[in-house]
Amino acid sequence: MDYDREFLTGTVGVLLLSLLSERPMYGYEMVQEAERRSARAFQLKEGTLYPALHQMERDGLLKATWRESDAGRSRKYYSLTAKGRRQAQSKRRQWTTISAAMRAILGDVHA
Amino acid sequence: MPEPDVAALVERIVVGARIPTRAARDDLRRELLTHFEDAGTTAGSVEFAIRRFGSEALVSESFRRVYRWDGVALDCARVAASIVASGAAALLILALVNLRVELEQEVWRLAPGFSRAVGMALAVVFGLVIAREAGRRPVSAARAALAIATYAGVCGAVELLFGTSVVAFLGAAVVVAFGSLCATLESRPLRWLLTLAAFAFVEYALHQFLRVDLAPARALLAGAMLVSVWASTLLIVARLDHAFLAFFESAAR
Repeated sequence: MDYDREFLTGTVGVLLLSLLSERPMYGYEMVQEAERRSARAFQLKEGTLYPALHQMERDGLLKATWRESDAGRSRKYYSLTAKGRRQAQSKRRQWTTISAAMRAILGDVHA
Repeated sequence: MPEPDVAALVERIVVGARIPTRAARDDLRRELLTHFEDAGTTAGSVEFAIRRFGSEALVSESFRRVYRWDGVALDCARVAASIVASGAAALLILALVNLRVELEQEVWRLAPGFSRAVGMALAVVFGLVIAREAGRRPVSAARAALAIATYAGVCGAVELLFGTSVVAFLGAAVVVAFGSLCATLESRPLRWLLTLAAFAFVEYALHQFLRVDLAPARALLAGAMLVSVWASTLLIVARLDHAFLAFFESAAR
């Protein structure tokens, strides 16, 4: 599904931090995981993903290491730093509050 | 249907990202190639993976934004090194030319116009380095505006401190403009001859403006000194550009 870009601005960071708060992942794994969990409703553009990951790494939210996956392929795994974990918790709280408020407003409109 | 060249696409993105260190470029290249290996296998076709990846130009632009401050820091260090090294060379040239040895009294002294010549030469060095940055390819209006603002800002600061910089900086700006025009000439002897004539003319005109007598022969000598400063600055800046790039490339390995 195609979304208005404005809707998605700011969501990529929350999404990545949330995914990585569970376990270290490599880029393509995050794309697949986001698709799987959203039942393919949310298709993360890889071209958006990698610059976002690099920016978050430079901001000290993530750290990256090259290591072999279970399949024996070498991949760049991203994991949260302590700062990233704090940011993930904060973003998750903000997102929960905002989405609850939006649901309440949209619910009122449809009522 | 021919297999799309993923390696070429990745290379274009990496080049377009303008990442200043080789280690970071190699890392990004490796990461993107790994991505297309995964995506090509899972998604079924490389064409589909490429389509899904998004616009090449937008991706490069996004990476440029991520690494922009690295590039700015590197440029600032390179420009500062160019100004310091070229300034030192200009001082050495002027000191050698203006040194007067009086053997009978065993006294070494500098010619009377030394301090004014130093001011002018340093302003020319600064102006030339800044002009080269302003015109560096790919040409950017923002960088050119920043270069002009920097030149004007430094001129203002020196004027506040010493009270006599405006004439030197304006003269230097004219010297840099004439020198840059002459540099476009194909013939090397003609280029240097015209550069000498232009610099001598600027020196003569500046002295006339300041109501200081300067014979044409002395103006020619002053012009020759500026040509030496000009040539040494061009040489040093070119060498430093190369050395800086090589240093950062090897340090980043």
